[in-house]
Amino acid sequence: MAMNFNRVPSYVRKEIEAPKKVVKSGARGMAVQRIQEWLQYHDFSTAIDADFGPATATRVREFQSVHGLKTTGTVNRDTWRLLVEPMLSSLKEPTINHDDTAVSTVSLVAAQHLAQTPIEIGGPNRGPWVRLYCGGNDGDEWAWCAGFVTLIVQQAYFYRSEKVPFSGSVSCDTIAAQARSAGLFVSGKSIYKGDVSWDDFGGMSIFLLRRTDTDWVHTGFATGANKSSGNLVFETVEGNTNNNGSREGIKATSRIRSLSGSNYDFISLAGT
Amino acid sequence: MTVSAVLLKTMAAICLCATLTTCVKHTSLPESNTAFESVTSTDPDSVVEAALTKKLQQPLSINTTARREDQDWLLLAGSVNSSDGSQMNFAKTPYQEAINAGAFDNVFIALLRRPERNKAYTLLELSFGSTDSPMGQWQNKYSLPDTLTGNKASSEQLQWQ
Repeated sequence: MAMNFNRVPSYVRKEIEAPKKVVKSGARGMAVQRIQEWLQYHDFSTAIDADFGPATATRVREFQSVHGLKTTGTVNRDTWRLLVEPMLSSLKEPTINHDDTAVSTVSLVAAQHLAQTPIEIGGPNRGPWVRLYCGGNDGDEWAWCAGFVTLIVQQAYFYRSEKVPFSGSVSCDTIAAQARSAGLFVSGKSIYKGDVSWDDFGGMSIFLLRRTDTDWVHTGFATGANKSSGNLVFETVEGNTNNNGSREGIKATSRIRSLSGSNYDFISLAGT
Repeated sequence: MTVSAVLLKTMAAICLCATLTTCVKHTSLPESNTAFESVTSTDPDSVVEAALTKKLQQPLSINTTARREDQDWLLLAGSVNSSDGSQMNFAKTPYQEAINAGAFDNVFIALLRRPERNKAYTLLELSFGSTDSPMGQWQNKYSLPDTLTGNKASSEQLQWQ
């Protein structure tokens, strides 16, 4: 379902709305940077320097050719729309059935984002996806796992026309504090002890990787769980992480995590 | 290198040796954010480098990519390299477990303050390795100006409804 652009926050609109004028050689600025970032996302890499030179024009023509557009080397609305199509797809309104719960809606929206492989572009914690998840901010200091969770929860409740159960943050610690305040926080210990069953989450929850009682360092969605050799393992959708064996968080992906041996707490959205 | 920077590096090396000799095993996940009230210098990069050396328990250098100053506040962000400038091997640091857990960014963020120009900076907060951002927390805790954090959206503007 299409998205109503007028109803989303301005920092989101900035990422997806087409520039007012055709962008062409000689242009400079954020619109050009966004074009270069999206070209890189689509594997038509060029320097991301916010300067529309001959190399960018060549890459735009190649992108247009592959997508059956007129190869002008300039970016009009049609070319722009195809460049940002992955983000538009991640932000579209999911088909929500009458029996869908808040939990299942969050799962649908998380799957939409995961399907587009949100990834850093132009350096650590940089690019359009990071800005989407961090309120228009990017750069080293805007690590985005908590922002990824926040935006998806916001988006899901927005399309359900319901108030979000916690306001969210780019900080795991803040999200944990908000969840505690809202009575949604479930300690990992209570699952170990059997006080809370995984089924109580209604199919999906938010996990928080804990270092101390007041310091959480990573977060994402826990989308399913099963017992493996006596250990509870759960599948995730999470941002600013990596594939096993890689070093740093660079993208949103799905992982398998084991409850035992690690320090996880959870936020339950069941019944919200 | 300034005298204070040399002193700081020496202190960091002493701390490093002490840590290595007394620390038999690490906690599963290293501290992501620590206050360092006692670390001061007129060279902010050396303050951060010394604190990170202690945190990572090995010699290193920093690559500062963001530097914002407002009144007496200074925010630095960047990444960590080996002392020779090459890519850091985190296998011998407390962060390898976080890397294995897909919960690691080679990013430091440091908040410093100096009461008067030409006086020493004090390191108030230092975050390293975490995959989330402390910016909102620090902004609230210290009432930091937006120009320092670079934040383009208030918490209200983040809301979808």
